[in-house]
Amino acid sequence: MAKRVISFKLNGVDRDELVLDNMTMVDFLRKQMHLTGTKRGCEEGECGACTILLDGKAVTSCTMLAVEADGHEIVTIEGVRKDGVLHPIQKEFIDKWALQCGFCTPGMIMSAISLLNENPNPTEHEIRDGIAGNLCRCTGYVKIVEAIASAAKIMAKEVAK
Amino acid sequence: MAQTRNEYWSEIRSVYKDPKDYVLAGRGNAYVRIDAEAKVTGTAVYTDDVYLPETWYCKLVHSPYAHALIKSIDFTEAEKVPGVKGFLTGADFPEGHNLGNPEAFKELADKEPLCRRKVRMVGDEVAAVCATTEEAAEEAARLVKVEYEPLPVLLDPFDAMALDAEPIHYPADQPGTANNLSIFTVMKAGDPDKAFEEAYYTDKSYYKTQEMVHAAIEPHGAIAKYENGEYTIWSTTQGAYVSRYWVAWGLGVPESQVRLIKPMVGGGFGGKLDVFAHELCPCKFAERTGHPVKCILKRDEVFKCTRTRHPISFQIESAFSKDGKLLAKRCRHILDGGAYGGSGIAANTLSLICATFPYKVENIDMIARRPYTNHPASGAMRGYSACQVHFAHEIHMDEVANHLGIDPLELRHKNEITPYYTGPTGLEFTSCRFKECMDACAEAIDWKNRWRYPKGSGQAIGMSGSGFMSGTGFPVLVTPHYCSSTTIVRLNREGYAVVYTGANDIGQGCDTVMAMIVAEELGLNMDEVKVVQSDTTTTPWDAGSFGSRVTFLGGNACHHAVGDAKLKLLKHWAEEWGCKPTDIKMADHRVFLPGDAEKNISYNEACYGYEEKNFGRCVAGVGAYNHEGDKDVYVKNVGNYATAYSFSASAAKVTVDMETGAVTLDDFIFGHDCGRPLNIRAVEGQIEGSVLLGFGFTCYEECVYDKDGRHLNPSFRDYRFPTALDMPNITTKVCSEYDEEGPLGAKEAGEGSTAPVGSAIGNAINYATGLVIKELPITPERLWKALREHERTGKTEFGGEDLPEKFANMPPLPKRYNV
Amino acid sequence: MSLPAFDYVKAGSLQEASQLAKEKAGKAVIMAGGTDVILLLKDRVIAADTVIDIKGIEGLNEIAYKEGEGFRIGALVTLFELQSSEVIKEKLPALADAAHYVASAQIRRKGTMVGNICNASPSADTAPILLAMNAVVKVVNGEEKKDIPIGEFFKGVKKTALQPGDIVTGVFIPELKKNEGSAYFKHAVRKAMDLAIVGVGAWVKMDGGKVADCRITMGGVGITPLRAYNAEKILIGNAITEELLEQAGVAASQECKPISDVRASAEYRTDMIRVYTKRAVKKAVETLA
Repeated sequence: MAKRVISFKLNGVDRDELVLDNMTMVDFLRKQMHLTGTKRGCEEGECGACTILLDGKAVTSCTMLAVEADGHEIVTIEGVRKDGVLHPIQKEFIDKWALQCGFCTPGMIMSAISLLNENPNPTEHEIRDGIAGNLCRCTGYVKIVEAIASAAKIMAKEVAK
Repeated sequence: MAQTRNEYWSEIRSVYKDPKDYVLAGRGNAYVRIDAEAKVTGTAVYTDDVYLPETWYCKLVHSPYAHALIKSIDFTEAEKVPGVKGFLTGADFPEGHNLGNPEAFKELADKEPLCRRKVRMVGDEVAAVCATTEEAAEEAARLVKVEYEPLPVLLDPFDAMALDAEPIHYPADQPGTANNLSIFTVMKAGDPDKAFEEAYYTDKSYYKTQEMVHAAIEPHGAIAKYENGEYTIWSTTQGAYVSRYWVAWGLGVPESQVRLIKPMVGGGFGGKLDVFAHELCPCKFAERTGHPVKCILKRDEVFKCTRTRHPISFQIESAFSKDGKLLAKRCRHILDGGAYGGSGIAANTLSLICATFPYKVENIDMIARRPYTNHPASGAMRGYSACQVHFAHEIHMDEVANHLGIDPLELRHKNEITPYYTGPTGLEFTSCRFKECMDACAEAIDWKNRWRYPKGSGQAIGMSGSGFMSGTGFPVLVTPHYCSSTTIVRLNREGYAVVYTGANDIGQGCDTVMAMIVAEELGLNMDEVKVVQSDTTTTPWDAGSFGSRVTFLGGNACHHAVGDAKLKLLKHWAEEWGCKPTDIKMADHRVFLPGDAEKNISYNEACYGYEEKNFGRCVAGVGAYNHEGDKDVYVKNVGNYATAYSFSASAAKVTVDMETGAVTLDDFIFGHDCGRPLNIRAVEGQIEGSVLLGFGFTCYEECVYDKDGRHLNPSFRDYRFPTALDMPNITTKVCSEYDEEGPLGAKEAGEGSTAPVGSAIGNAINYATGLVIKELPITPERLWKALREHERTGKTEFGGEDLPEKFANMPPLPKRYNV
Repeated sequence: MSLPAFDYVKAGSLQEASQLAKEKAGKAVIMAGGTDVILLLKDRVIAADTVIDIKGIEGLNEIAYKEGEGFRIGALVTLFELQSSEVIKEKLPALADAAHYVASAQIRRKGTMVGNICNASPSADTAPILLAMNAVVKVVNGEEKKDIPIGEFFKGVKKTALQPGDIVTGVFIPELKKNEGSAYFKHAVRKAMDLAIVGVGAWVKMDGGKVADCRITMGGVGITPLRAYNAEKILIGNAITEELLEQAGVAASQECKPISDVRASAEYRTDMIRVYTKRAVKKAVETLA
């Protein structure tokens, strides 16, 4: 089976990795890099549990080949906390009890990061639209929407400083 | 002479903190979930995240037939796939060691680890493959050739009961009686016939609910290793001890040689209660190969071969007085059991219990039957039977109200259960704020002005009420104390405590609750309580996460354990200080006699002092809690099923697109009586999730099959549950009082909260359209069809049209000794 | 399900991609965003031993607008870029709506509009609006360039007019002139993450309060997106009234050829064509340029 070395940035670190051509990004992250925060929920782009950032944009890693990362930057949930400090979205998810079983949480947070990058001041509807590709069976989304709205406000204040 | 339970408990309870001194319980923002940081940073370890060196993979081979005999299994082609290491068939497991769920009904255990001679549903497991990679295992599984001889497929539960129906498991044991009964339940009280004769109003209605699935985002799976003659399994289970029991039984080895560890579980909702081939096969392969072996189901496998919610067909007759008093209920429930029993058999009895409340009814005549069919096995699911029953019975309640010309809310109030009422079959209600729940919802949705949305205008509000057991007494495994929970708490002189709980956190947050209870009683901070949970080697016995029992039973066990430890510690210091243990308080990391500055030491010093006088032994407490019910309650169907009962009410505002049938849920109010909420945000979270489940149940979700029993929508694309854009804002009204028996006064919030959602939405849709829809799900197409037919023919009631004839022609039940 | 074995080739130029695709005729698949291709490979719907990734080819990622002419949407423009493009939102909002309707934000950030049409799913959300707008598919094959009118592009379920070696470089969409409007509506069970039960696109040109010209297009009700010619005839030359819209809706519903499947019955799809034809035309008229 064909394989090749890809050069890319993973959670802030430059890497060269030998990957199989037919390996999905989610399997590469989990099986080869042992970054198990990215979850396999459906493996067909329908649940969002495997969402990662590709060049800062949230995409499902089950509908992406590992080789496609060559020359790009990947951030997984493990790369969101910087220098031991939680991202405001992570912090608000904790404080607002915006998670239960937690299986959708990493993907949900990656989508929220991407959403707030694109739209720092979203309406409630825009938040719901931004995470509509992340299914959650536990929470009814109420506290998740609340946490993202609250994080947006906190981040806006940080930018203002 | 040993202490009685009450003597022992009252001594422990004497040192419990006074509720007015609580600093954590009931406060929303006083603490966060103990697993939250791990979950938001991706470090939380779920079953598929357990990576052991040299792990091999297992893949199951499933039947494409719903009902067939297995003629042969050929591994020739599969063996050629590079990396394949072995195969299993039914013959690799001891014959007769079938898997079930409640041990008390072990004679009903009917699922072979791998099918030997017969398959009973599409997806039934017939063989397993082991390979060095997941990809090779999948490829080889595709190449296993199984030859089948198809049998007649029975998908309708009424057809399955027919006298000439093909037996799915065994023929009817009495000729001339219904075939394929997995279980049936008869529940009677009072004199229903007389009540019906004398009533002002009687009726007979039919309702039907569909097959839905749990759809936890984490797929089922397991990883097993075999060392020193012991199997260790990490599994996506809701009950480590129960799973361990059935895994050991299925493998034919003593329970002492199986260790089951429950890592983080990504949602269960009842779907992870039963034991499956994907847990047993990795064990067997691990033993044979010496490698750890992992088996994680793919999403379509989760849909096809785990468990579902029972579809139920209802025939409901009710008798009312002119002024709206419910005099009698006669009902027949037919539950489609699917291919196996497992955790599903309790659904039958529960469907009847749920129909006896939240309204007072003295005269009842109820029968439920659970026929086997060739659908996937129905099992336990959140709001077990209550979702279906309260859909049917609460839509019915509005119909009755409208016939009698009484406001539906008033009709409910006339019949509502009140505190300390005892039901006709022996349900002993204690704390009850059902009235307050309904009133809170009515006020929030402005019920008295409900006709601001005229009937048939496309907009409306609807209400409903329900109740649920808090802490089921259902005995899953036979133990000395019947469905119990046990907990150990150890106090450490270095300033912390460890709680060893068997309670299975599957996402609901019970680990956090246990830590909070211990922290509250000992005056520690949340991060000074360490939780060790659900591992059959390190934690004590617990029956599992089901029947809304975890907070109530597990929480009480934990409260007793910390009480036991606290009592020991305080007895020691009472002796030192010349006071009573009940005089001493623990708060802010201190142990002290209020008002005496000399008698005030740190928690660390208190533990140190205890150990000094007790030959170095640490302070440890053991606690247990169980529902003291009648063990035969499930045979006699009379008695009290739970320690307490929760109550709920819902109000929904909907908009119906009268041209397309699409329903938008605009607003949802939920009133819940959960006793003292241990954490208001946790309670809200449970309720908000329940609304999602209930909305999906009502308007979106349904497993669809072709005539051969093949699942046509086994994916999240075609089995749709609500996204963030579909969900409304949800307002939670906690209408609680302190429950005397509950841990820190709490009752349940996880399951009962699903029960009234469907009927509130259903009633709202009915007022919005001017129709009465009696069958779920109310998809846009179904509603469109009803609206168009109504325009053509004037027909107003839709759903369950096939049921009157089917109920009228059911074969009789077998005669049973005890009925 | 795991992916089958294949070789991945990242093409550096259109010529290279085209050449390789031609050599591997039938055994190569072109991938842009990959969000459909990867799933089709997993499900063994397409069998390919070579996956040709065109994301490395320059000049395909632009949304270019030329006043007085229209838009050129490059093959690598993602659905998310379309949904959020200021010029599209301003000058052709129906296309932004259609792009927004597709799958999830995560899929839209990687998946492209050109991929959406090349996948040729009957329920593809961007197809009806492109058909209503009379778009033109721009194709390169080796040194050859050709234009395929969108009306001739779709040939069946998962079938297009593309030949081995054809690489779609983009789509040209004429702009809305004064007194022209367009709209796209999708009907699905969920408000997101769903496939269309039906999708209806409309383009209208008004003149003095009457419909001077129009195109009505339907997705999810045939093996390809369809035109509702009879409905168009009913509208042309008339002022928009509720009665006229109803007549057009009925005509469109008689022209569609839906099937019954797990998502909806043919009867329901047919009536939804009636309903959404009315709504789409109405919205197109209400939002004239």
